Amino acid sequence: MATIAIRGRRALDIPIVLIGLSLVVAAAMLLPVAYLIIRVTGSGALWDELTAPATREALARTVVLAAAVTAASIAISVPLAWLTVRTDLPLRRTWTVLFALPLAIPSYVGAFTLVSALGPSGIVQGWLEPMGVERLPEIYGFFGAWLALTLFTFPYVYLPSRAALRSVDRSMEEAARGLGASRMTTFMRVTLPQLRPAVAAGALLVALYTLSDFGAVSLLRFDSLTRVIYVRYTSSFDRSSAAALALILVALAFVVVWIESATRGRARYDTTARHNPPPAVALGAWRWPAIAFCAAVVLASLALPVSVIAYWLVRGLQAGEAVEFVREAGMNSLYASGMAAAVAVAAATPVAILAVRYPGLLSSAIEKVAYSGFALPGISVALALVFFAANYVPSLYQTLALLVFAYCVRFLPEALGSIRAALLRVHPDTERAAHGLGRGRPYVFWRITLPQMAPGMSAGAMLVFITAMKELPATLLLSPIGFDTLATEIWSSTREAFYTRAALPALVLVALSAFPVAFSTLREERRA
Amino acid sequence: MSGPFLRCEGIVKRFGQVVAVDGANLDVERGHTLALLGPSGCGKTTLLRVIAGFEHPDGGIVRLGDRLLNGPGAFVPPDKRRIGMVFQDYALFPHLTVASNVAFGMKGRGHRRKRIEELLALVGLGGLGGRMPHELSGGQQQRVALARSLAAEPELILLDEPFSNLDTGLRQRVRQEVRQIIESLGTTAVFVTHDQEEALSLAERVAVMAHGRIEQVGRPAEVYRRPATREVAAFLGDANFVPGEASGDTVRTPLGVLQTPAPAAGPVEVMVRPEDLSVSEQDGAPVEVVSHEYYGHDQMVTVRLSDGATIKVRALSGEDFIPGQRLGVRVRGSIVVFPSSGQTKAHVESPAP
Repeated sequence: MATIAIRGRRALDIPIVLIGLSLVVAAAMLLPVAYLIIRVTGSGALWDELTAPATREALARTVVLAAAVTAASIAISVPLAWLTVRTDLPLRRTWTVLFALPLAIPSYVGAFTLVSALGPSGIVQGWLEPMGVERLPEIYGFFGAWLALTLFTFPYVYLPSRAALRSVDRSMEEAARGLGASRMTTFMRVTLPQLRPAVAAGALLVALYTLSDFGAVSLLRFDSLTRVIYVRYTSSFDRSSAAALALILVALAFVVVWIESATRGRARYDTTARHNPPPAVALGAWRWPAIAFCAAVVLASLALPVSVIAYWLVRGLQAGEAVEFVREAGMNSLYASGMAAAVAVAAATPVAILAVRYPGLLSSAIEKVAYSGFALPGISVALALVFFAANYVPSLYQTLALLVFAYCVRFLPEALGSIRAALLRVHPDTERAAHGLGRGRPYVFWRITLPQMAPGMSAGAMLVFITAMKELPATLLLSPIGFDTLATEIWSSTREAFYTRAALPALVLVALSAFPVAFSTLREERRA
Repeated sequence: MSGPFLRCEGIVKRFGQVVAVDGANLDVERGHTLALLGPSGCGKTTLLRVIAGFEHPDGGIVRLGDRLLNGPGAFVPPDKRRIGMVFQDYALFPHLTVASNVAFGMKGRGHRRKRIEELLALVGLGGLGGRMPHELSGGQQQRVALARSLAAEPELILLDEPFSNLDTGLRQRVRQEVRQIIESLGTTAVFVTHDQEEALSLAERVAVMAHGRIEQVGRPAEVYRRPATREVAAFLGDANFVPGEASGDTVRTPLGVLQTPAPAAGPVEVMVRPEDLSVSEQDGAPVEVVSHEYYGHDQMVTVRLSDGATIKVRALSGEDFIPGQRLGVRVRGSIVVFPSSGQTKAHVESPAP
């Protein structure tokens, strides 16, 4: 027992095991970035990279791509949220699930379907060639990357915007109307500002996803930072330059996080009012353009990728494409992601308990470090671990353990979030009552706390499992030789235009993620 | 211009099968403060929202001054009505400062800052314009909401359960302050409440609503002393109901033979307020003390009549009562006679807390 020296009113007896475990987790989370910093600052490569025109161009391309994807996601999501919450649009619940489902499509699967459908000698051109269409607009480069990332990340903005719009209280808008504001003014000056925190939180996720995305930009041949880093790493002997770029990418991600928190403002939006939803706006003749807009979004972000996957799957099966390799890649994916889920939950649990039950400076610092993983680009984490292992622990280099470690650094926040939420619902009085009945700490933890937080732990494990299945750059860089997963299989097949080989793993990945996305969206729907 | 300033005629509002407002009529004179009082679910908030323009009535007319706001083929949208509304939860805009909240509905560009400061000073919040709403206490938020409505210079101000979110001590004070502000500006105001004490103490006029209709409108004392219906009597304070047999100017009741305010005949129901009864050892209808609640300034004694029914009597605080004690009860104030509702026994009705 370590008694933290706050005697008197609130003596905090934090079990030393808890502090120890949490500190180990925090140290592990800090390792990749700390190592990158040490390695890069020692070599002078950082300055060289920062002053090189090529770096600045890649940086500018990355920033422009992130900004463009974020802006487009907001432009699509806010109108969709409004249509599905505040109007009499038919089938609003169905649309909501359909708009959430693109989250189940990893960016490189989306990119694969775009390339094979719209690329040179792709499906669409095959149809149009008899009509004399020689070539389609260029899919490679900025446009393709922007399109793919927007189509498969906009739900990150749509879902929170929708939730925020649902919780806007009627009386707020009525107050504005009563003060002489028109419908339009009320929306712009009262409703929209209340959506801002939700939109900003979603935009942050989209921007971070775009910054760290490797799959879509590499398949669509857009030289953003991640692709440049990968090329430098695989092609040069001096890997310091790749490490420097990886660090710059991390810095960029933290700048984005900082921008979001700095623009959050002083307002607080939690309302004590009982929820009183405003009446639905009758669309009237606007119903048809609204439906057309919704249908176009679903067509591009869901129907297109799914039907392209189905097309190549059928083509592949007809041509007698082997299914055997998919089974092996699938088993590898299951194994690595399952390990990651188990380790991440085990690592997140002490941090969650410390943060919830023993709030204070130390625990909030540890918690912040644990959450930092969500801003870390996968390729930067992977590179850092490659260098670290190669230099200090060669026995770990190219082992499954290192890959699982990278997954955990990246996805620990997902496990932490849901365990923390579950723990908040465990009333401390149940633990106190058990102590009062003469039971010691370990017994109370096993019999009282753990069973109550178990649902949160399994939800967290599920989240980590699914995201790890989809993770591409860390898998590419860290998996042991010959260890192919579904993600790497899709990526390498698409790169070599073996679309039929990519179809089955893509289908498995999408189907696997689609169920939890649809399930949690529907559950969220029913709650209100 | 003649006639009432606000006139509602035959307002009907249905929500599906439920009739929330069922032909309500209500007039308010210019510069008056009217309390719309009634049990929850009686339709008072719906009526207020119809006046504000947030609900479309299924029938009826709303007039303000010489403008027709609701009527056959007429609907003035809420932003064009010049009616201010103070919401139960205040509905302050969380993303705007106190000053910006107040400025939201202000007309004209000139001297904004000065007018905001004046209004904030009027509601006792001078210097707090830079705060965000969540940085204020409940009572302060309430006054910001009031200042915000006043800033738009409304012709009529509506308040929906304006004090229900404040705790008891604060409520008394804020009530008086709000009353003074509204009176000093001469604004016409309608406020909805389910708290009879609030309605009686705050408004110049009280309208009692039940089952979607206005049952009675009048000065507070009028409505309390001479309720038009059993519902009004029971809703405003404690009321004892005893059966009676009227003939001409008198009525025979378990409390003795009493003078009726107006000639009546046949079976009736007589309402007596607890403060219009007195108990003593000398005379009156024989009763037995059941229990008593001591309030300090006075006390409420529950007594059982010879037929077994219980009624309530308000007594001075100096007297002592013991359960089982035998006393006599007398009517010393006025009574109200209603047509018989079929109740055969005496009983007490109190408004829901």
